[in-house]
This record gives sequence, structure tokens and C-alpha cells, in this order.
Amino acid sequence: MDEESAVSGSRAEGSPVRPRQRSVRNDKAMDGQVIAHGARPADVRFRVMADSAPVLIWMSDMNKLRTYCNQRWLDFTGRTLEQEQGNGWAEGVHPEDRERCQALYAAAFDARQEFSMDYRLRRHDGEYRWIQDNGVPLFDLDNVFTGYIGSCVDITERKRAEADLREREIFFRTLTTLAPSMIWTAAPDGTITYANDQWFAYFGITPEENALGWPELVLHPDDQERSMVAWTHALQTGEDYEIEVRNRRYDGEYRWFLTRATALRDDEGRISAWFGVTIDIHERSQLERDVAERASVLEAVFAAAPGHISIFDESGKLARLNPAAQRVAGPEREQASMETVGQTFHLRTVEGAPFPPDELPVARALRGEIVQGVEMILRDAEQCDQYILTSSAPFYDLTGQLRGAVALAHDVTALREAERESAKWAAQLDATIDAFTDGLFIYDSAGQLTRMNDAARTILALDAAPDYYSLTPEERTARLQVRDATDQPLAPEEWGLGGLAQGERLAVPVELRITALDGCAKDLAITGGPVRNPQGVMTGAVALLRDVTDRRRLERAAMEHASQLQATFNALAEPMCVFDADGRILRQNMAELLLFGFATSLATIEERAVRIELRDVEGHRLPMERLPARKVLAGATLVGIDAVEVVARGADGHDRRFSVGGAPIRDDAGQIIGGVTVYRDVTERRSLERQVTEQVERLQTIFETIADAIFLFDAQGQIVDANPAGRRQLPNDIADFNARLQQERNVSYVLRDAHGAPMDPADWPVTRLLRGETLTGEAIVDMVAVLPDGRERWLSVSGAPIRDQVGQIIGAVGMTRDITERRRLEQQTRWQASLLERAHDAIFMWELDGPIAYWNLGAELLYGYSRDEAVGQISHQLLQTKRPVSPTAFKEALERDGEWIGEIGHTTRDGRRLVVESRHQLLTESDGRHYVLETCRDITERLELERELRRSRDELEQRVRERTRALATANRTLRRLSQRILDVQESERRRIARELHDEIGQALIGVKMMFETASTENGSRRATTAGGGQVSTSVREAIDEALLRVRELSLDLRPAMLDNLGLLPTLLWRFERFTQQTGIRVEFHHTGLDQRFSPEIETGAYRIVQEALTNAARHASVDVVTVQMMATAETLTIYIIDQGAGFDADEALAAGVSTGLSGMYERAGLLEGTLTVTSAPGEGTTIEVLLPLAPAMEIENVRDSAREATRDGRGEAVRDTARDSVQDQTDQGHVR
Amino acid sequence: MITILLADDHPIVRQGVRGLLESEPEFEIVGEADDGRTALQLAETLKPDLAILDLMLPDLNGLEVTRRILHASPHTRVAILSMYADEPHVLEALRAGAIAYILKGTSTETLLFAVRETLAGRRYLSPPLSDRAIEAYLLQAGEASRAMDRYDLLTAREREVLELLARGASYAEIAERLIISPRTAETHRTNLMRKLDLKTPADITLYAIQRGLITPD
Repeated sequence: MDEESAVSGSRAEGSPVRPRQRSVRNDKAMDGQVIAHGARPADVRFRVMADSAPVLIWMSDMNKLRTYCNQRWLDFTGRTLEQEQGNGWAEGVHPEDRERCQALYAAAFDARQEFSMDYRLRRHDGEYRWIQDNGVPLFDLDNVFTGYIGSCVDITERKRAEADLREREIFFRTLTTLAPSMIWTAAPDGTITYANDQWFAYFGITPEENALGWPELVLHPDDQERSMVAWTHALQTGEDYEIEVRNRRYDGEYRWFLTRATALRDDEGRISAWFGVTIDIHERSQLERDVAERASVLEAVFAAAPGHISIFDESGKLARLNPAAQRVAGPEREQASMETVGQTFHLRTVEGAPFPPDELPVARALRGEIVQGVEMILRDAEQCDQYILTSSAPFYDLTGQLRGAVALAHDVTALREAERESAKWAAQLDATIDAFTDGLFIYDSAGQLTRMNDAARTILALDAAPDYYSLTPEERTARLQVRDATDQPLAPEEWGLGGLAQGERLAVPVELRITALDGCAKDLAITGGPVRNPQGVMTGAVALLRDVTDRRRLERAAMEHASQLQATFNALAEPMCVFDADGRILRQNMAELLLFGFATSLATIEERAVRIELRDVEGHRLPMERLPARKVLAGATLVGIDAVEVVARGADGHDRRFSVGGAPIRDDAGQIIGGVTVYRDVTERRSLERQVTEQVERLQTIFETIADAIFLFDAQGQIVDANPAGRRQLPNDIADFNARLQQERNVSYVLRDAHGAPMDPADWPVTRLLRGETLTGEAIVDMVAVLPDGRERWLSVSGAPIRDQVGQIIGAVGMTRDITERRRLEQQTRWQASLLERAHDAIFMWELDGPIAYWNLGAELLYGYSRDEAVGQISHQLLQTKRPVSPTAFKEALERDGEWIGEIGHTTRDGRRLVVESRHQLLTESDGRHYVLETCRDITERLELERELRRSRDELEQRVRERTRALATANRTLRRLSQRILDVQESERRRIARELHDEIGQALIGVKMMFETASTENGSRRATTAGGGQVSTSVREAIDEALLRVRELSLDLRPAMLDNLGLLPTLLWRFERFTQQTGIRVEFHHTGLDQRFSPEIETGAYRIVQEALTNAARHASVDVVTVQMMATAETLTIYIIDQGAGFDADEALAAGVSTGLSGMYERAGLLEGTLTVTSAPGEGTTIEVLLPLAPAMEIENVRDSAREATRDGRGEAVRDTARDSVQDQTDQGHVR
Repeated sequence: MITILLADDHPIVRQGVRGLLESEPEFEIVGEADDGRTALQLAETLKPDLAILDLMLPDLNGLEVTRRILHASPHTRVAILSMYADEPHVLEALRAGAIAYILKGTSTETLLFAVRETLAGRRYLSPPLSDRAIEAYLLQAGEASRAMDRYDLLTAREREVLELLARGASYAEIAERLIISPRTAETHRTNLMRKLDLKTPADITLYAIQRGLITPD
């Protein structure tokens, strides 16, 4: 490059002849140097060489002064050697470089060192050129320093190239750093060699990561393959690479990028590198989409708009028409411009004048104006004129340059035509309104009067009062003095016109009277109705006023006449109807209106007949020709027997019976012009007649069917008639009987009074009746009649005399009722009552929750209160009743079972406390009231005795028990014995229970069955034998009683269910029974009990619980006892807990007062278990029992053997059971 | 003809019932048994319309025979003839599948009526038994009986001691607190541990926490 520059530098001289000239000068120069240095042959050679050298060469002496410049230098600078010699050369050096050069030169010179320096040297043409000057010190053969020699090369081009390169490098770096895009370069093989900062920043990766494999990090997985294929293709072919891919931004978002790369080639056309740019086009593509979308929407609007849309360009030429506009324009007119559009489309103003082109909306829009709603006329493709409403607006490009205008036009022809039509109608309406003779007022929807015609002015006489319109509405109203037809002033709300404002139609004219403004009274008939638009919305109202003043005056006169007639007509009491010859009803009087309740709504007599349901007396509807009114019109006069009897329905909905009279009305010529009918109401008369008939029939029926005997007597006391019941008591031949009666009355026919004394015939009922007595109520006679066969019958006789119209007695009615049976029952009841009375037991009855109603002799004797003292008292207060159960439980039991039996405490009048065995029975009287019949027997003494017995027995037993316990502790053998005793006791109880139950019970049943079967077979025969039935009944009852006892006894000894069903059901049953018997609730909690245990455990547990409950009932005075039981594999635990009185357990045991307690201890002990009693007075009692359970296998075995024992036990000998059964019964006993 | 099996270990009863039923033309006694197993075998082979069973038969009781007959011969209707007039027996019989529960000693007409009711598939219970009584019994028994909670076994004092023990109190502290002797406190502890089936002092605390008597802090 240096050489090149030098060459070019020489070439710059541009002349081929130069070398020769140069050589000449070289010669001269050489001469000069020789002079300067003292010529030497070597120097000459050198100078020749130097002058021919392509470089600038200089020499200097040891004094730093230039001695020589070669021809080329001189040519370069354009100066002479003389000018250059010495320090003259420095004049050509650029002033900025000069000092530096000289300093460098001097420094190197002094040090005798080679140097090289760049500086600018002025060329002959004045241009400074960069020179690289290399100087070397020069020594002669003797190695004596002789000066410097230097050669210079023009390096301007090189310098410039270097500067360019540097500049370009900086530019590139700056560019790539500043550019918003990512720029990169790659080696020919595709390896990325450079990427700018944006690349790393944008993709959020480090250069190291990038080098390792940016595509995986950056490229969207779906785009990687595509990108790779394209890139490989570009690398292979050298074609430009361009691809749009998604790259992952630093924040993880994939965005669309455009990557372009171009190959850089060297001179041989080989690819030296790839230069690439990657741009984020995400937003741009988004924007493009938006723009496209918006454009398509606009396009759609353009296409679909119903109005005409035309687009003009800025020159005013029509650019586009939408389809609607195209239709109007027609194909050949689409080429219009703004100037021609007016003519082409015949655009005219609405007045018809040609539209001034400059004023066209589109023309104005092209001047930048926005024009709206200009109406004009257009002639369309079919040569029809259209009214169009046009608007126009200019549009601009992005730079704000006006690019054209859009014009919109709507066809408003139809609208304009409708308006014209409407105007025409309005004109016609105006004319009509003014021509109206009725006054017309038109109101708007707000109720404001908008119009009034001439007739209205006349009616109101507005001309007479010019000031009328200056008045307020209220004053106007007042001026008119609106009244009703009777001249009563009306407030506006009473006018009856209010509905008009609500859109109602005044179909019936409202009649008002006003005083017109000229002072004349006027009668007005006002009609009107709402005005609605086609949508049905009310837009106002119209009122029509008709002046009816004259007509009213005439009407009033006619009315007066008519009302006089009407008054007469109405005054008639009978319904009257007047009709014309066609049967049209003319008038009806008040009576008819009241009766049938209708008037003007019916026009003809036929309609009236239908309405009142006119029927004949049989209830058949009358044919039209047989209507009374029709008969009248046919000429008949319905009077007297000709009157027609009919049935009709009155306004009250009741059928009434009428006798209809009537007559035709004839004119002067005798022609029938109408008729009158009169209805006479005969309902009451007819119904009275009917009632009499019915009553007679009813009486006859009673007479025939009544069970009591009824006899009719004549005045002589002879029977003239009798009802069937009566006849049964009489011989067939009444006459004969009468005769006998007559005869026997004299010989005292056998009648006795209630006391059994013979009756005097004068007191006989019939005699008394015929004397005029009435035998009813208190006067009814009870007597005894002795029948011919000797039987006596009790008769109850009532009756009354029969009188004629003047009160003369003409006979009598007598009625006898056979009350023999009733008397017998009464007597029996009385007898029974006396039995009750005489009963030894105290029997008394009291109303539930009420006083004593009955108190027998027994009660008097027992309690010392007399009947009078006791009746009316509350029994439990009087007797201070103490029951073993709470009043609630008592009442519940009574209501549930109907009776309650128990031992209760009573206190006598003298304060003695009694214990009575009492039976309460709940009786319900026919009046629904509940009574309690209480039967009490004094058992005080018996109880004393029992207590005494029990005490001695308890003592005895206690002693035995103590003894047993002592023995048990001393000797386990004895204990086993005790176990055996208990076992035996249980098995004996079980055996006896079963024996009773199975053997005796079943035997009894068998007997009973056989007995029953036998008595049924022989039934009829046996029953007839005297007393046979009674015997069989009492035998049956005896068996039943025995059965019951057997069952109870068996159950009490040992409930069979304990063996049959197990512990749990038996306990549940026991608890229920316990609660029933004592009223104490048992709260039972258990777990693991739903299984069978060994018979010993079941028996032991049951007996212990039973005993504990008994104790609780006896001592604790509690309402509830808690029993808790739980069974595990090893143990059955039982707790019996009460919160009652408690006791000192040790003391009780020691004192031996409780046999139950020790019994429980014993049972628990025998089962190898323990029993703990925790109790203290006032703190309740807890009994805890722990019974060890045998392993399951053994239980099975034990149970089986136990069952067998049970089964086979019947045959075993019974030993030593007496004590046990006594024990057991007493255990049960005190609970009962 | 309605076929009837009769099982009762009392010949006299069998004789009576047979006599009664045979007086009615539509009934035929097809088998008689005096123990449960024989009755079951007969029922399995004869498949009678009606089985009249004593409640307590030797070998196999009437309840079990009822269950097995109904299994072997579903169409057979079972009437229990029994001496027992108590609700638990009736209840068990009905549970076993019997339709009628007839008390021995019922009059012959009633027995015939009961047999006809049974054949018609209608429940019959001899007076004074009734569905109402059975229900009342069930209700009462159910009310009285509920699952057992050992905590209910504790006395009020034992509950106090339990809580104090669970909180880690010593006998002396408990005694002072409840104004009892330490010896009594110890007795209470022994008792309550036995009632609650607890073995160690830690069990006491654990139990008290589980019952929510104390809250662990």
C-alpha cells in the first residue's frame, strides 16, 4: 500500500515526460550535494540511485542541516534544493506538525538513532499530504558519523483509509449498540461471532449461554426446526436468510421476530461472514392485524349501509360508491365528478332549483367543512325523483393532507310524501271542524285546550266576553256555572268528564247545564274520546258539545204528562205490564219491577217470559203462543175463570204462583194496538193449601206407624178408631169391645193406679179427657192395666180432648205407651242400688277431678262421714288419701287401664289411719263426664298381722342367714352347700313354675277345650235344660281363673323368659313391671348384654337386680333408679344406683334387718363375685356387683346341661324347696 | 282343604285343638308333633298351610322352629300357641316370623277366629296382648335402656377427684381441696380407676383429656 501510494503519488503528476526532467534536476541536485559534502564517487552513484528511487529521499549533515533532497522530493514539494537545504524543508511541514517533527528529529539526531515520524508535508499544489519519514544515521567507512539519510513515503491514502476504517468501526459499534434491533454476525459455517448488547439484554442470556446454544434458549420450540432448515439452506446456498419466528423475551414471553441475514463476500466471491438483524415485529404485526380488521369493518359498513355513501377524491372525482348508492346511480353515471354530479343526478334544491355546485355538501367538505343534513332532490337511475338528506365530511391522510370527502345520503322521499299527505288531511280536518254544528274542543296530552271550532265559540258565547281568555282556568270554570240537569252546581271533578283525560271514551253523553257567557242557560250533551297515534299512545282528547237546550225543554214537558200516568200506573199493587201489538213491552209498573226486578233491558213479552221462567202449574215451560200476553193480543180478555195460572220466578230467585189477568188495548177503530197483563200473586194461598194437605198426611203416617197405641174416642167415650198399634190391643170387633167397655166400666174394669189401687172410672184417663183435661207433661197418667189373660201391663197414658169450632168437646185422643219393661228395669236398678248401699265395702263415686257424687252405707260405716257430709267433697281431701304412686302416675294408669288397684291410706273422721285395699274404676257417663267408682276394703288389721308375721319370719331368716354366713366363711364346703341350696331353690322354683305352667296349666287348657267342644256339640240341647248354660259358664270362668292364677304364680316364681329368652329381655320386662307396680322409673344403661350367659349368672344377676330394685322401692323413696350393666369377656359388672334416702350398709347388715341385702351378698359370693354397697343416710345407694364370667366354651356346655336339667328336672325329687319358695314369694309380694 | 301342622308336647292340648279344628270341614290336621325337631321335619315334608306351634317345645323351641319352617316352607303361616302372656315372649315370637300369638286358654270361638285371621295373613294377638301393648313395651324398654357410658358410673365426688388427679394433684392436695382425708381420696382414685377400667395414672390424664374434662395446656 505504501508503494502504491507512492506510485499514485507520482502518477499524480500525470505526465510521462517527467522522468527525464527529473533526471536533469537530479543531476543538478547531485551536483549540489557533491558540493556540500565533498563529492565522492560513491555519492554520485547514490544520488543517481536516489533520484531514480520512487520515494522521497533526503540527507542531512552532522549539523542536522539538510544537504540533499532527491528529485522526487523536489518534484513533490515543487521547491528547489536550495530552498530545502538547511532547515528550509521544515517550511513545507504543516505548522501543526512542525514543532513535533523538529523536536523528534533533533532528539533522534542527538542520540544517533533511527527514527520514523509521520507528518504532513505541503505538496506542490498546496495540499498537505501525510508523509512517513524514516531516518537512519549515516556513518562512513571509518564509522564516523556523517549525518542522516531519510526516505519518505506518501501515506495520505493509507491514513485516510485507516481513519475511515476506524470511523466505520465506531459507527458500526455505535449503530449496533444503539439500534433497537438485534444485530449479529456469523462465521460462514453459521457460528455466531458477534451479537450486540440488545441481543443479550433482550433475550436475557449471557454471551456464554449464547455461545453454548442460543437456539434452544431463545427459539420457540415449534419454530426451531423451521429456523434450522432455513438457516442451513442459507448457509449452503449463500442466499439471503429471512424468517419470522417466535423468540423468547427475557421475561419469558414469546414474541414474533423477523430475522434477516446477508452473506458478506470477499473479492473472490467467497462468503466471509454473515451479517444478521433480528427485529421484534410483535407489535407491528399486531397493529397490522388491527388495521386490517378496522378496514374490513369499515368496508362492511360501507357495503351494508342502507344510505348512499359516495367517496370523492381530493380532486373532486367520484372514487367509490357503495352498493346502495350504485343502485341509485345506475352503471353509466358512476363516472361523475364533483363538477358534473349536479347535472348528472339532476340535483335540485327542495324548491326545485338546480343545486349550486359550490354549495353541494361534498364541495363544501372538500373545502374542509363538515356538512350535515342538507336536503335536496335527486333523480335516480329509473328517472324517479327522490328527496335525499345528505351529509358530507372531508378525510385526511396521516400528514393531515386532505385526501377527499365522503358524502352520505338518505332517501327521505316517503317521509316527505307522508308529511304532504298529513298536511292535506289537516286542512280537510280543519274545514270539517269548522263546519261542525256541535262544539268541538281539542286537547293535547297535557290536557291543554289546543283548538276550538266556531260552533264551540257560539255555544259558549265567547264573543260576548272578550276578556274570557285573560282569565285563569278556575275563573273560567266559575264563569260557566256548571250544573247538573236539576240545576245543582257541580265542582269540576263532578262533571263526569274526568275519564276523558284518562283516555276513556264518553259513549254515553254527559249532560251538564251551564250559563253561557252571554248569560243564557244552556243544556249541553257532551261526548268525547281520546286521540291516539298509530302506536296507540294517547296524544290528546276531543270533546264534543251539543246544545240540547231546546230538546230538553220539550222532553221535560212530555215527561210531566208521562209521569202523571206513571204515578197512577205505579200506584197499582198488582204487577202490570203494557205492550204493543207486536209484543214489545212499553211499560211496567213499580209492582212488576219490584217483583221481577228488570225494566228496559227486555224488549218483548217473549223475552220477559224467558227471563221470569214462565211455566204452567205443572212446571212445563209455556209455548210462546200460549203466553197470557199473546192470548190478550189475540183478543182474549183474561178475567175470572179465564185468568191463567202460571209459575214465574221473582227477582228474589223464588218461584211464585200467579193468576194472570189481562185485556187487549184497542184503538178507536177497534183494532188491537196492544195489551195489558196483570199478575196476581197466589203463591201464599196455594202453599197454605199444600201445607194443610201435607200435615194431614204426616199426621196420618204418625198415626199409622207410631209404636204407641192411639185411640180416638167419641164424646161418649166409645172408641171410634185406633191406629195399628192401638188395634193390636183391641179385639177384632171394635163395636163389641165398645159394648163390653161400656158394660164393664160399670163393673169396674180393672185399671190400677201407680200405687196398685183400683181406679175409679171417674178417674180413668178417657173420662178425664172427655171432661176437657189435657193429659200431657206432668199430667201423664202412669197406671197398670190388667189384661184379659191376667198379665199386668204398665201403661203411660196421655191425651187431649177434641173440640169443635165452638169449643164443644166432640171426642178425645188417647195415647198409651207400654212401660212395663222400663218399670222393671227401674225397679231392678233400684234394687241393685240398694244392694250397693248395703254392701259391706265402702263404695263411693266421685267425678274425676271433682266432688264425691255417691257415698254408700259401707263408706259411712268405714269412714264415719255421713252421706250428706261426704257428697260434694273432694275425696282425697276428705280422706287424706295416700297412694303408693304419684297422682300423675295414678291418673295415667287409671286412664290407660280403666282401673287402678292398690293399697292406699285413708284417714277416718275420727282421725284413724286406715290401710285399705282399693279398686278404682273409671266410668264414663253418657254425658261424657268421667267418674271414678272407688271400692275400698279395710285391710289395716290384716296388714298388721302380715307385718307381724313378716317380722318374725325375717328374724328367723336373719338368724338362719347369719348362721349360714358364719358357716360359709368358716367352711367352703358349706358354701358349696349353700350354692347347692340356691341352685336347688332356683331349679325348684323353675321346676314348680314349669310344672304349674306346663302341666297344670296345659291340663286346665285341655280340660277347657274339651269342655267347650263338648258343650258346643251338645249346645242346643244343653241350653234348654234349666241351669245348664249357667253351669257351663261358671265352669269356664273357674278354669280361666285357675289358668290366670297358674300363670301369675309361675311368672312370680321364676319368669320363664329368663330361661327361654335370656337376661336382657327378662330384665327389660322386669323393669317395666317394676315401673308399673311402683311408679319408679328405671334408667337402664348396658353394654355387651345382648348375649346369653350361663344359667347361674343369668339367675344370679336377675335375682340381685330384682332384690336391689325391691330395696330401692322399699327404702329409697325415689322416682328413678339407675341400673348399669356391662359385660366383657371376663366380667359382668352391675351397678344399681339410686339417689334416695340411703342407709348405713354395715349397720343394716350387722343388724340383719335386710334379708335382701344379705341374699344379694350371698348370691354374688356363690358366683365367685363381689358385691359392694356404698351408702350413707341421705346420700343415696350404689350397689356394685362384679361377676366373673366363665370362658365361652364352658358357657355353652353349662347352658346345654342346664337346659337338659331344666327339661329333665320335672322328674327329679324335690328337696328343701319350701324355704326358697317362701322367700321368693315374699320377695315378689312387697312389690305388688 | 287347609292343611295344618300341630306341634305341642302336651297331648291334652293337641287333642283339644285337633278336636276343635276337625269340627270345621275346611281344616285338615296333616301332622302332629310333640317336639320341635319332629315338627320341623314334618313341616319340611308336608309344607302345610298353617303350623300351630307351642312356644316351648322340647329339642328345638317354637321360636327356632318358626324361623326354620319359614325358611323351608315360606308359604306356611305360623301361629304360636303359648301359655306365656308376657310381652318379651310375644315380641320374640313376632320377630321369629309368627303371624299370630294365641294364648292357651282362649275360648274355642276365639281360637277358630285367630286361626282364620292367621290364614288370611293378618296378625292376631290374644287379648290382653295387643300391638299397642307390644309397642308400649318396646318404647318403655327402649327408653329405659340405652348404651352404657362408664363415666355415668362415677359419683359426683369421684368426678371431682378424677379431674384433680388429671390435673396432677396429689392425695394431700385433693384432700385439702375437697375437705376429705387423703385416705378417702385414695379410695376414690382406686374406685374410679376400676369403674373407668384405667390402669395407670397417665391413663387418668389421657381419659380426662379425651372426655374434654380438662384441656391440655
